[in-house]
Amino acid sequence: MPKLIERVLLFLMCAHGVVVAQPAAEFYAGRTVTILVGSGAGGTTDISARSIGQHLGRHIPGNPTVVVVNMPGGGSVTMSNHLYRSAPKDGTTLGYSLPGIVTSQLLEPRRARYDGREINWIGSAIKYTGIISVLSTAPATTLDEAKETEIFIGTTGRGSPAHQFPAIVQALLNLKFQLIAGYQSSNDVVLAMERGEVHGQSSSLQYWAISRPDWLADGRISHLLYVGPPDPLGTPGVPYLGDLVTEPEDRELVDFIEIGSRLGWPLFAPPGVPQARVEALREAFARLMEDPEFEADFESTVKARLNPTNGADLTAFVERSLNTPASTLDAAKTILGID
Amino acid sequence: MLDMALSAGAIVLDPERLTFVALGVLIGLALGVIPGLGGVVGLSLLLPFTFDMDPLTALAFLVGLQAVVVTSDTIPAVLFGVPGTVGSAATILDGHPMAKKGLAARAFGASFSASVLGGLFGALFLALSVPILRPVILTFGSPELLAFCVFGLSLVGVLSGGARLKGLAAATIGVMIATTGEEPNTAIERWTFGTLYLIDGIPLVPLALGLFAIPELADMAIARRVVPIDAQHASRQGQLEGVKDTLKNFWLMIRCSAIGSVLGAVPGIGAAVIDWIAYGHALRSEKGANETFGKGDVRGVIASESSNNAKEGGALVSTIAFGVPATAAMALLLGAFLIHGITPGPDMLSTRLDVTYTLVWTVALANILGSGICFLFANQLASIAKVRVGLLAPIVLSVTFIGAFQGSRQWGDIVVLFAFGALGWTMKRVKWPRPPLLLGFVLGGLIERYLFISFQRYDTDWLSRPIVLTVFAITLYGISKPLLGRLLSMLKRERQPFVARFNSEFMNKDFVFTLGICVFLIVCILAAADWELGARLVPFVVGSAGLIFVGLQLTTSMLIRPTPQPSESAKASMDLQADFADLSASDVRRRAFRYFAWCSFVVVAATVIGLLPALFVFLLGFTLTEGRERWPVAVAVAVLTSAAWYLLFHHVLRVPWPAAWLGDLLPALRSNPLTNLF
Repeated sequence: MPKLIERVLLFLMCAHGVVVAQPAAEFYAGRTVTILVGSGAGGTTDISARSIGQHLGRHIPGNPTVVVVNMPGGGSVTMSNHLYRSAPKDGTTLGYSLPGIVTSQLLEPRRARYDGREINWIGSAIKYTGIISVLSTAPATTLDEAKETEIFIGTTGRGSPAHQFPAIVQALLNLKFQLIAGYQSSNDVVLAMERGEVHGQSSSLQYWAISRPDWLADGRISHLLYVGPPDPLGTPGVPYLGDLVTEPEDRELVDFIEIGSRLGWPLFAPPGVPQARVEALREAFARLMEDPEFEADFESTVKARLNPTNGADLTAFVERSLNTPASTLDAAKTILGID
Repeated sequence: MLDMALSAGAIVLDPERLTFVALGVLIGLALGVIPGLGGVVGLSLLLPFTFDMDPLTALAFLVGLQAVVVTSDTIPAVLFGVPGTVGSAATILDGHPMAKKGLAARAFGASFSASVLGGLFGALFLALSVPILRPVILTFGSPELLAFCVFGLSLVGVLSGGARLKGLAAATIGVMIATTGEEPNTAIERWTFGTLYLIDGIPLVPLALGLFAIPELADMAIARRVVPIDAQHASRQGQLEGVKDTLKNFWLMIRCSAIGSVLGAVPGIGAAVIDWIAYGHALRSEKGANETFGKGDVRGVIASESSNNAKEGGALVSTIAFGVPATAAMALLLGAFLIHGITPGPDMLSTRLDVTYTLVWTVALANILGSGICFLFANQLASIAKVRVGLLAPIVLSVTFIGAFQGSRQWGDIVVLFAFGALGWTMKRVKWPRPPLLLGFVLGGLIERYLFISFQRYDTDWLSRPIVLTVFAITLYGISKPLLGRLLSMLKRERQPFVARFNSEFMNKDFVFTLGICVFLIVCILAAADWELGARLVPFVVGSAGLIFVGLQLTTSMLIRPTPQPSESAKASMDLQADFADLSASDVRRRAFRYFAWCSFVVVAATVIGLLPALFVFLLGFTLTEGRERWPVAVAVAVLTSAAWYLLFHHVLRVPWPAAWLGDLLPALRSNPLTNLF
């Protein structure tokens, strides 16, 4: 019996070795690539992943089938930990996470058991413009007014970006935000806005375009300020947080808040995937971003224009972000009240 | 509007759409039968296939699926006492005892007919309320939602039956467990033991399956028999009787359907407790319910099942009207809406009225189809129970394990299933009612959430809002009515001096368990002592309340009342009772030990060789040793069952399996899509 097991193991290892040496096209032909999405089904993360999953297969050499599987929990940290530790390292399993994935590694290294420096970043299709928006009927609808008048901002909880962004802005600009934490989702905060319980929330421009396009169109909400890449249609006239701070340490803090929005929703492969396959995936992703059929489908389902980052740029950006100075992290943690 | 409704009817009856609705219904029914799987799994799996359909067909397909999952989830609930989805947990209380009495067919008849009528009620509710519900829902702020949840929690008293103190204590444990995870206001991690898994809180599916399914399967394995199949009752005649039961209790069905659809429509009320609230309502309002509910009263089945199906129509209301999904499945459906370019909101009443009415017709049609199919196959399904328990128990148990794993697809799900399985079985043995724990768990988290939002936003002003006051008044009336009644009857009776004697035989299982709960609550309170006020408040309050209930329970169990009170003992304990008539206590203990040893084997082996291989070993071993089957039979069962789960979960659902030691040792296994189980 032990002999048999030994032989089986030997066979498997050899098979593995053969697999490694194959060219990507041969490897991917007839296989299935699984994209693990680090969120529940239904939101921007899930919908954009599914749109990518639907079109990516035909750009990967060998045209594998691509399926999308949800693995929610811990703001994508659960999925990333899984991918880092136990997913196949052969390029058949990829991760697609929320934008907060690098920030999580910086703020909560104990939970995030992956290292962004070792992950094979494939690319991201969109970035997001983080924006704090209030009802136009709120007591304060501009930053100047918000310095004088108290307004209620609904958030899901202190651990979420939707809470962290307004909390840091409030500290940097001395605003009179009252953060009401504990809503179950952004949708619940919007409902609370509709019934007058809170005045606004921090989310992204895409979020409003998807969930309340009419509010954007008829000016029912006003934007106080934004971070991340400017949006040619959504942000004219809206102040950019980076322009409002002058001290170098405050600039560092703005850079820190912007990590997520500039990273966007990244697609990545675990460490250890053969380099040729990583390159094949990166090239496939780059071609996908040029594919007009994908672009049309993506814009109609995700309601966002493509703003892609290729694998190399994403890798460099993550590297830079992970080198955020400790002093900046400490300042952020102090403001956010986390340790 | 009427012609729009009719033309939407024509849209749904288009043969192609009709085919897809029927297909959705079939898939939905199949998912409902398997514990742990439900609409969420089905919708996320099928969503991509709808990308190329026209929007109305896609929605009809998905909604058809979702609408009937709660029809077929009754089947395992009645036959095995294992809820097919969380929504049918209340069905087992009376449905399973009916099956034990040989009335499975009647229970099916009643529940399928209640399901279809409830579902139709939900569709009607959807059609009528979409235009008017928007302003109504907007008047429900966080304080009002808080009041509703408190009202729901107050039903714990009713659901505890005769064991009121135990029920209240169980509810406090449920609330305490609900506080697990990152507290939103302080970002303090409560009872997470440093794990990532517990940060989002304990997921509902493994908890509910553990609490209800594992103990039922344990008792099946201990008693070594499934429910009796009485030839006479497993028939069309029995079903017909069930249908008559539903019609006889027409108004109960209507009331429970109304509860289901209204609560389903309010975003932010746990959909998982709607069946319990309807059940509690029936228990409170039906004649003689106190004596017969929980022992196989068909009215309990009707209440639970009608509300369960009616909630689907209701849940669509808030999804359509606000884009706020009331349940996880609705969140997916919302995604489907957006993908197909339909934006929920006021438009659904004007420009996209066709969509709204298509949904109404689909819900109605799917319910009729779903129940029809269930009726058609009810006899065949009932005969599943004829399979020998030695084969059936391991098969159902194995799918329960994988089903629980769908909770969050992490290893912790299996641990939660096992831990709550052990807790549930113990509670059942010592006659602690389990429903209050589930109710406390679901509503406790919501109550904490809304309580903090209400105070942060309105200080104490919210306490004077009219709806809050009204709901609190109703709650108070509901709680105090039985107490007042008892007080009155005590006054009327001749005054007896209350003499109690110390019970020297108090040291029984129940006492030890109660003592254990006492220690658990004290540990919780002590552990919470260092937290910020926001994080510690609820654990402190429920912990102290729990200690009071447990303390009273301990005291009363140490005393013997001079005159036995027949009314107390006759009352149902509002939970299933195990019946091992011919087994000695030591036999029960031994077999229970072996059962849970096998369960823990699965938990441990899953970390070593992976969940599916562990289940294969379990199936083989359990069938051989506990089922006393011959080798060929055991091998056949293990191979066929494992192959089925392998195909379904690994290849169709593409479950990412938890990391096992074997996979760490041999990474090559993970690189092969066929062996990527570790």
